[in-house]
Formats: sequence, C-alpha cells, structure tokens
Amino acid sequence: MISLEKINDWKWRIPKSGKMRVDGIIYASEKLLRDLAQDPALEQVARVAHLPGIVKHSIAMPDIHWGYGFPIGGVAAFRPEDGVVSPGGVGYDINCGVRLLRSEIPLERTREKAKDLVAALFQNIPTGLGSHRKDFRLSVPEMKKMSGEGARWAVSRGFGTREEIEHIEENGTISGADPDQVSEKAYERGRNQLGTLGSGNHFVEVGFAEEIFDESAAQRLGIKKGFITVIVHTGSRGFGYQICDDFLRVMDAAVRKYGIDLPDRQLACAPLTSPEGKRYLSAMACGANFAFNNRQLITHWVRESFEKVFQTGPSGHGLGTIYDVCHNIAKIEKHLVDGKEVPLCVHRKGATRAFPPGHPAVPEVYRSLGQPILVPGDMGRCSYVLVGTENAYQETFGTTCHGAGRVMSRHQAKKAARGRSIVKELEAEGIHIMADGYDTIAEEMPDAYKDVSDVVDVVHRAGIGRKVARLKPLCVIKG
Amino acid sequence: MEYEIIDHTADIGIEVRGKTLPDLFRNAALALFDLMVFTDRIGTGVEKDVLATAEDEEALLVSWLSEFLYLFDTQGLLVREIEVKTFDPRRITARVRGEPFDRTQHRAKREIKAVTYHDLKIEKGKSCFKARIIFDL
Repeated sequence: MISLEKINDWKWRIPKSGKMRVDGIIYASEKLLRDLAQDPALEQVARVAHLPGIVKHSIAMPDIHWGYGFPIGGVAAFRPEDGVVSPGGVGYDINCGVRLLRSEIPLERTREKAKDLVAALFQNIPTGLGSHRKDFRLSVPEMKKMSGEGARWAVSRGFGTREEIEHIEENGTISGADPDQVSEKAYERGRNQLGTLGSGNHFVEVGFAEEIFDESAAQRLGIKKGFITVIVHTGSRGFGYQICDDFLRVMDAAVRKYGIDLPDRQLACAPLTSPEGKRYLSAMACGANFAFNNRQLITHWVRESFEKVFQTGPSGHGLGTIYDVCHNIAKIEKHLVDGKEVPLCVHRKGATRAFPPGHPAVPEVYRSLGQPILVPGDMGRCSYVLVGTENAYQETFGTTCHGAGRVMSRHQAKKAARGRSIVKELEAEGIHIMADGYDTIAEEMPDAYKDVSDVVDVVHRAGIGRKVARLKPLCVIKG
Repeated sequence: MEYEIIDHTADIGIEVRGKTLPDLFRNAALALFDLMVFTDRIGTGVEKDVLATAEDEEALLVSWLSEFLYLFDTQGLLVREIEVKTFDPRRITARVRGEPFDRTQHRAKREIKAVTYHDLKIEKGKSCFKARIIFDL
C-alpha cells in the first residue's frame, strides 16, 4: 500500500522510501484520490521515482490512471548526464495530442445543421478500424521526408497555412528526428494511416464556448462565447505504435547492457548518453512529427466539411488553429533546478505542456498570456481551455493535466450501457454522435470518465494551469 | 471462442486457453481478431505464412500477436483459420487463412494499438495452458 502525506488540499506526497531516488507528488482532490484507491497508478508513480537521474519529483496529474510502465498522467524529468529515456514514459501512441480550432460561426447557425455536419465530418475524415483515404498513400521516401520535416510537410502541400505552424507545440517539428532510425515495419504500417483518426478515445468534436472565465484571455485566443470551436484528438497511429514496440525490445536489452536496476520491467529505458537512448529519441521525434501532420491533415478535412455544409469559403467559417499540444512525448527542454536553468529530458505521458507567460517557446501572439492548453473531457459533458502558469513552470516542469481519465473499464461501461441508447441520450442533450466501432459508443460513454471539471478544478486551484473557457460538445465523431 | 475478457480500466485484456502451447497461440490470435471485428463473416480466400521469433515463450506470444496487427495494418488481413506448422518457445511458423477487411462485409468493433508485456503470463494448468494478455487501445 502506498502511504500519502497531505501537502495541501490539492497536493500529496509519496515520501521517498526504499530505492526511490525522489519523492512522488500527486495533484488531486480527496474526491479524485478516492477513485484512485483501487488503481495501481500510485504505485507506478513511486516506481518511476526509482529511475536513474530523475530530478525533483515523480509527478502525477489529477487525471492519473494506470498505464504501461509509467502511469497515464505521469511527468518525470531526467538529467542528460546520468538520466534515462523510456518508451514507457511516452506511450505507444507517440504524440497523441489535441488541436483546438476557433471559428466565426455562431452556435445558432449550427444547431440546425449539426446532423449534416457530423455526417460530413464522418465521411471526410477516415475514422475507426482500418479506414483510410483512398487518395492518400505515401511512398516510403515520402514518409521519411514527412516524419523528418514535421507539420511543415503538410503545409507545403497545401494543407493549412504557414502561420498555423507557429500555433503548434515546437512549431510542429520535434527536432532531432532521424528517419533512418525508424524501422521498415513502422513505415509500412504508417503509409496509409496518415490523415486517419483511429479509434479508442480519439475523436473530432465540434462544440461551442459555453462559459468564459477570463474575458481578456479568451479574446486573445479568439474564443467568443456562443461561437463554434473544434477539437481534434489523435496521434501517430500504427507508425508510432510500431516505433514504441521496436524500441521496447531495444530497451529491454539496454537495461541488461547498462545494468540498470528496475522495479518493473515495463520501465525499460536506456541512458540518455547511450546510442540506444539517442536512437529512441530520434525515432520518437519522427513518430511525433507524423502525429503533427496527422492533425494538420484532419484539420484540413474539418475545414472542407464546414465549407460543404455551410456552403462557404474559408473566410466564411474562419476556422483557425488556436494551439496544438502533445500529450505523449519526451523532449529536451530547459528547466529551473536549484535556481539554475538546465537542460532536462522531460517525459509527459498523458500530460500537457503548460509554459508560463513570457516563455520563449510560447508563440509571440500569446507570449504575455502563457501557452494555450486544451483539456478535453468526455463526449457528453465539456472540455476546458486553460493557459500555462509560472507556478507550473516552477513545480511541474511546465506541465498540467490532459483530460478526464477513465473511471470505468470498457467492460464495465458496456454493462452500464446495456438496455440504454447512449446516442439517443446524447441527442436529447443536443449532442450528435457518429462512431465506427460497434462497441465504441458504449465503451466511451460519458459515465465511463471522471468529470473533467473536477480534474481542471484541481489544476486551477493548484495553480498549474489557469481556466479561460469551457466548451460544450455539439457534434462528435469517433473511431 | 476460447477466451474471456478481463477488466482493465483504460485498455482491454483477455484470458485465453489452449490444450497445447501451439493451440494457445492459435486461440490468442483468433481472439485478437474477435476483439477487432465480428468474425463470423470472414472468408478464407487469402492464404499466408506467418513467422514470429523471440527470446522466450512469453515474448514470442507478444511478437506473434504483433505480427497479426502488422498484417492487418499493412494488408488489411483478417484471419479466420490458423494452422501452426512448427513451434518451439523461441519460434513459431503457421499457415493462416482469411481475407482483407471490407467495411461492407465485416463490422468493426475496435482498433488494437499494441500487445503489451503487462502482467503477461503463460501458465500450465491441469488440463490446459492459460495466458493473460493486455492490449493497448
């Protein structure tokens, strides 16, 4: 059993014990902690603290739940000289992430077209098992170019605008990508999956700004109460899964080679200075760049869908990217340690970068505000827009939560949905949904998730993110 | 189908059985396809040889199942029949029959991202072999 010390109402400590090198820190309310009591995630936070070169704390966000090796909602940073990089600290879906779009379309104009819109999105965006656009299959050399260049690749082919690139984390390209470190198998798996949504918790959601908490911040982001927004949630598809798979094997051998003492085989990792560690970061960057392109292409098809349904050109809908963030990533970033700025390898697995006002990585248009963050909830309740804070930079390596987190297993959710029509229930609330997989809607129903408001409340009160607006869903497509 | 779904918060797991190890491997692969689609309408027009290798039995199970995810992602292959040709704890070969996924024929259930090593165990019971496998969704 993990023992927790209360620091304050929003923050708890797992004190260093045994071979833990640092404390674990959990951001959660008492209510959220109760849900966690049965989950092995807290134990995972403690285990991550065993890894060599870990700095400050092994951190968990309030939406934490069990993940492979590292918990989902886990954050850990490592020193370049004696630290490690772990594929389990990133996840199978490299750069699974979200993009938030704003528009000039008021809610009233959308309600009556909601059914057409959800159908158009479902038709234009390949969704679910094995689906892909017939007009889109890349050669392996083109795949290499795309995964090396990042989102610039899509933009140079007419999918999106140059200005849009600045509204993506790392300007849409994780540096250090080396396409030669990616296996043939990954290229083969990824070739016809660029521009596809996938299944599971991935979605495209049209919604609207229901409540604004900070008027001037919302204005800066281009969010207006009662106007349409769009969220795109997907990642690197089979390309990323294969890269992760390939490197889990490499890391398993590396653990033995470098004599790393691990409490759990799933934490397999390699020193950041080793060839294995460097190769993983180079391949992972390719996976991340695939995901940026994936969201860029889907954004293009979202625009096309709006143009068709509203019979308008781009100026008629004004769909523009507010920001695009990674949820699953390991990156070399500069952070404060003992008052000094040093490079660290930050792992965020199911967590969002939340850089403060004034940080040079925040796009100039938002610099005095802080980095925009989107925290998606389930398909029935709501999502939140936040901005990064100085406190997040000080406490969590500039990181905040990434979503609601599941509370029911898929099996439990299916049972709970038996005899109900989730589609009709949502329709009664004005939410139109289309899904490809037979079980998807039941498994992904709102009750299967924690209330994202509880999660966001914790990060807001703990000061590792600041609420700007709440968005309400209107149309959702899922895999 | 010789498997049951086991509860897991974010992902999905199965417990699968087989009289022999080759049988267990075969049933695990068929279960994988049963998680992805309704399998009753999969034809057997395509034949293929599948090979997987690994350092030990459990890693072999992961590698074997991952091979089917690869075949699905690259060729859309849904498998209906599996004949294990040779088996040792580090290498398995099989002849499989199935057909490419066709949305008008096969109803999709869900996509499986990966096969994990989490809690992976192959156990010899009194009358059969059992394995627990967690898939990443």
